Amino acid sequence: MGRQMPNEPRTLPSSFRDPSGFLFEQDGRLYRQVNRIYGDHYDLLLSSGLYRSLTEQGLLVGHDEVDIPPPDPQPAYKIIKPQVVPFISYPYEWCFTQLKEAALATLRIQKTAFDLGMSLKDASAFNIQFVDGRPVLVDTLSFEKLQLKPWVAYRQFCQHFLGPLLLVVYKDYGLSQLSRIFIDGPPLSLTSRLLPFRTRLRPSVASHVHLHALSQKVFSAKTVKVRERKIRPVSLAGLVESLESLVRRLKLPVKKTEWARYYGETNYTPEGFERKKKIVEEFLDIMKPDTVWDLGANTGVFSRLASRRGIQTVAFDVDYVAVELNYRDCLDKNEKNLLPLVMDLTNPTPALGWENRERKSLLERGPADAVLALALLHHLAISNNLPFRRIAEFLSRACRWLVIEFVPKTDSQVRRLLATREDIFDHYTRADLEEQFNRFFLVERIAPVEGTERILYLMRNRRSPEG
Amino acid sequence: MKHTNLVVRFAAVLISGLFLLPLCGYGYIDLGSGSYIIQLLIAGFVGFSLSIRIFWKKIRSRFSKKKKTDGTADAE
Repeated sequence: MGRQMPNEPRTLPSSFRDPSGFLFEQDGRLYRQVNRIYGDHYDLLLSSGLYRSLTEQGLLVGHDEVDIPPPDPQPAYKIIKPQVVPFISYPYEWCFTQLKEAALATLRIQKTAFDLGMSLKDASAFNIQFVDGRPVLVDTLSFEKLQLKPWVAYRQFCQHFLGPLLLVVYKDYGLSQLSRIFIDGPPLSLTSRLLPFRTRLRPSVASHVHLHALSQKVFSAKTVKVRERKIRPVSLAGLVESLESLVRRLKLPVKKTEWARYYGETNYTPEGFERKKKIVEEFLDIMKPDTVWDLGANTGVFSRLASRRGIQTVAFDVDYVAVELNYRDCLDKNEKNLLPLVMDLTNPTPALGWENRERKSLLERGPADAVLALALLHHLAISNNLPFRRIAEFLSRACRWLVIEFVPKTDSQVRRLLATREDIFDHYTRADLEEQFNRFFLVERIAPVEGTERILYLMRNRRSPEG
Repeated sequence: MKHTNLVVRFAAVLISGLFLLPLCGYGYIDLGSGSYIIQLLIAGFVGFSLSIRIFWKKIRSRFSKKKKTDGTADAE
């Protein structure tokens, strides 16, 4: 009872805030219902040339109008079928440059909208996704006819983009995770308190963050008689320009991390490294995946073996700087199929928001056709005390095919992990790995990496991970 | 401390009087009265400086155009 038929439309749990319309899935495809209440704005988006301009600039996802029955016929105006985003990611998974590019894209969209008589009615970071390596607005219903009033999305922009960017630049990149706790962005009062005193001397930060937070505090819960104030177009343009100039000038301080130097510090020869690449390529030829998740991807050397074959690849790493370097590389080389993301696999992104269904967990966004888990196992098993069985179980829920590397205790990288702690890992053996992974996977290939002590396995999931 | 609070309150009343806060928002997200006020102040300031910049640009381009025309005339 209550179970939906396969062809019955299913409204997305995240699509409830805006009465202009909603997203739904039907027969495995994504659609958006546009409601009559939004009809005039939608028509203006098309007739003003804004839709064309933004899609041509790659700033807005394209869509087609389709003729299918609306799931909610009474308020329905039109049904559109938006371009598919290969992998949905969230601001708390982005590195600094990804968040900065997303912020600049939002402001560029707002400027283009101004010029064509429209304005963004929201500036949520969740409305931006990465398609072909670039930030794109995915909410077609985010525009309204331009009115000469204060920008309604100003506070949201400051909370979703400006605050987190400033905290990363002036304090620590760990604070990017505040967006995970505060789903509408960290409150400006908190950002203001966390930022160092010297930021109060920078006029643009002082006004958009510190005075903004003070103003919110002073005027909170004050109800004064309504008289809407008009705002001059040049003032609206100046506000966006001021935000754009501030965001553009923000730079991440250069810091090096242990992992970001990883490829320069491998304990095997360049020949061994090349052989490992060759084995991974042979395995990719066997698997022929459409999607790959590279777990523990570092700066994405092995991810690129997949993405350069046209495979949609997500490169996850716990190291913020490694992801930053990876994304900058993607921008420099205009790489289209690679999406680097920050992810702590010992505490992967959970489902968040209303009913814990608004933003998906990592596993809910899978499974991937293939997972690469190279030089990862010893970090999970030794640094995080995870038994092989638990790791195998997790990976069996994430992929259909698995490429996994075993690094023995005699390897200097593992010895380094054990140097400062008692070796309680009697089960950290090749035999135990094969036994535990065999419960969930069929071993298809075993390939020792010549010139090293390492072994690569190609495994196939015994059952469909969806089941 | 007491003095600071008094100053902030006085400023709040003054600014409220100046702008007559609209608290019924438009759109589906809430801008909030504090964000409304500060935005008007910032937008007013940056809008003013932008107007001056545009004005200067026009003046400079007019002069440089005149100069260029004069220069061209001389050359001819």
